[in-house]
Amino acid sequence: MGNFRSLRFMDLFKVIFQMFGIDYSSMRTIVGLKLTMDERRIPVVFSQTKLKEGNQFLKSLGLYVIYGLATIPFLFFGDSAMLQMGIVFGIAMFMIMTSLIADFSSVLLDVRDRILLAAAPVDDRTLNAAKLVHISIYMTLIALSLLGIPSIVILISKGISFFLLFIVMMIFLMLLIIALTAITYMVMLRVFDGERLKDMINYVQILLSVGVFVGYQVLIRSFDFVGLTVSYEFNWWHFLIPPLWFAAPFEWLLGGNTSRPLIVLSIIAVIIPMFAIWMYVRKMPLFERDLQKLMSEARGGKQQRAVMMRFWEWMLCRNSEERANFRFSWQLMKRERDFKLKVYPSLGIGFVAPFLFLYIFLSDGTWQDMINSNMYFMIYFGFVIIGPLAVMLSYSSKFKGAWIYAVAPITSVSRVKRAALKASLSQLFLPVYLLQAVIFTVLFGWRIVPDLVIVLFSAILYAVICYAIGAKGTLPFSLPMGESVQSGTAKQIILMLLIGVFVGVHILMSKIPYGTPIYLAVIVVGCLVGWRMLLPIKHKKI
Amino acid sequence: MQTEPIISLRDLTMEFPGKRVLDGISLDVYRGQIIGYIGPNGAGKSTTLKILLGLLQDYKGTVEIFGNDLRNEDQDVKRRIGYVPENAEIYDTLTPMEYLTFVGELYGMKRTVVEEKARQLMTVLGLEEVLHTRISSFSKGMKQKVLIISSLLHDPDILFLDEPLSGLDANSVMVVKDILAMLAANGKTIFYSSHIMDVVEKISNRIVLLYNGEIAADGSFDELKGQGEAGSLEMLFNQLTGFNEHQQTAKRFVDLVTGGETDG
Repeated sequence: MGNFRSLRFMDLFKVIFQMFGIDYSSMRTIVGLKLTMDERRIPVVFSQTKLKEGNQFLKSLGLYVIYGLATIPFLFFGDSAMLQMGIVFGIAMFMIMTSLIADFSSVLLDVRDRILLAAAPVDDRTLNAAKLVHISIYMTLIALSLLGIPSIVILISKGISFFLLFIVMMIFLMLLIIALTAITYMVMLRVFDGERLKDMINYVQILLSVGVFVGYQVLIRSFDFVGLTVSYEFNWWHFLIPPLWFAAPFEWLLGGNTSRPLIVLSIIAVIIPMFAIWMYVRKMPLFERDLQKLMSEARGGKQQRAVMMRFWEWMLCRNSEERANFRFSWQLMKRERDFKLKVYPSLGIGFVAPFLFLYIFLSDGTWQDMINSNMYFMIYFGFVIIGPLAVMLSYSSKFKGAWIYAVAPITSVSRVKRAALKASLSQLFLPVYLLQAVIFTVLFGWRIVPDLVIVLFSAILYAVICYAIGAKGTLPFSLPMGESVQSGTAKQIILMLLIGVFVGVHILMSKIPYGTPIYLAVIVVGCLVGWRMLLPIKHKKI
Repeated sequence: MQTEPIISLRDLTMEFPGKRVLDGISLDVYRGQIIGYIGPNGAGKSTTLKILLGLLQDYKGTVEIFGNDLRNEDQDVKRRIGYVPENAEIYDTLTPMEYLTFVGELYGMKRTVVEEKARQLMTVLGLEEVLHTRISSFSKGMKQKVLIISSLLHDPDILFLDEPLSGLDANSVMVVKDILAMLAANGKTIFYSSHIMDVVEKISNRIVLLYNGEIAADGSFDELKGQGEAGSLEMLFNQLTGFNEHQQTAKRFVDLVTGGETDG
């Protein structure tokens, strides 16, 4: 501990820290301790994969390198430095800011600092400096991995002055990001209580996961645009887009464009980050005080009306034990952040993917071709939601609460499982599917409705198969969340291949005369049989 | 009534890999008794409770509750039992109302009935304001109260409690103590484990001391006192578990803290 390269680098600036009245040796100890703890944390970008040894964060940097590579084509996009750099800074800002919120909320919002360190003889200034240094170390690492290779490309293709300006602007961008994130938290802490704030952070984490997937798909397409020539034209709303502030100096100083708005934008790029960081440092004590909210006991709160829950409960459950478990599962899935973090990204991907592939088809064929084709089978991509959902159903971050299943007089374990699976499908899969089905019907016409019904029943059958493979006899929400990452990739691949089987059979049947109605009957029966066989209701012990 | 034991353990033995936690325990518990189940950390208190609840199954010996062998998995027996686990383990993303309704329904109560009962019980314990607040934001004592309510919703005949008073403030401890005493007077049987000796001393009418997987003492506090010269349960506890070095241990510790010799 305490022997990190970043710490030794920091030692070079010891005098500066001391000039600000910071107790350097305690700050170094605190930062060293935090870096040690970080080695045992898993970043969000990796949340879908296996647990490994070592500092997961450092390994995740590899991913940022790849995202960084994706920015390179934009450096040659059009012939205006303003647009090129605007897009590059935009990507950098999105990536750094979301990862800061996703992975470093725990650092910014760490209340243990207050309890453990405030009691020790460490003053607030030192403590805050430690926090700032800690975050800056990681921000620098992310920024370096993200923009290291692009900056070399810049150095070679655009020259030294462009490169130096790039570095300077990057530093200002990072200052802005730190301050902006912190100020966002300050405002959120003011407005919301602790639980709501944690929910917000959770949604940002989910957004990051989906954004990475969609962004990746879009970036691949963007190579097509490289040859285009677009020049930059100023609009008043450009003042509202921070990446353009940082791009403006390139156009002004290096492009020789001395129009007044550009000069104003350039000045903003320097002044706002400085102002923001000054605000942050000044308001830090206030922020720390509001942090206490995270620990406070909330009061009040209203009973939720939960219209959807009541509706589906009434539709899908006949037995009171099943109803109780349905509600319980529904409410738990709505609240558990770790569950959402694991499942919601696939929800976003499952929703977007069919349309993304239709879009890709459209870039080659015509609209009319698509409407007459059997591209509506793309809706099967929505099935990627079901696998993770059914597998994650067995896990909970509060799995120890599962004693209640063993203690309570439950008459049928299958009923508990059925209720959980029904709740998960009706809460998360069905809304996505129904929306997709409506849009597809609008696109392809009424002719595809029987096929959509087949898809629905296939999904219900697929879900129970996934659950039977994934849960392997355990009760819902009864295994520790951390273990979920270890449950094999092999299993996930089998489940994925199974989707292919469903699609294949369906396409084959649709080629045969009367194949569709026959298959519809077969899949409905298969669905009933599958549920009866895999989750049989009989009275037996847990 | 007093003749039929409600809970009956015969030669109960439990082994975890490499360790024998319970070593042939035999015990009869009768209606209306409040059993204080005490012992040092790791003596097997929680293990016994978990076996009685059906959470652990690979034990040796027989366990009967209401005359039913536990291995028969009778759901009617479970319906007559209430349980408060140690460390307030609970699905705490739910609100008390949601959790209590769920538990009540699992025990076969009607939803409207549970909701009303839960609301009233929460109100009596001063928690009406947080009925719809997530349990995760509660203090340990508040969580403990929710769990106590959840264990009693269905009016069980036996109550198993694992450290039921941990985290509760002094006033709440008094309330819970009185609740337990009144429940016992109403013919409920209460079986609870704890480290806190002076509480056990005050509210249990029978104390069972577990040491090294065996029952080291069994009887009312007065009976146990008669066996030795100890003045309090704490001293009796030290005596029976063969621990009489507390002063030396404390002295060594303080010496290390101050870096010198102190007056022992």
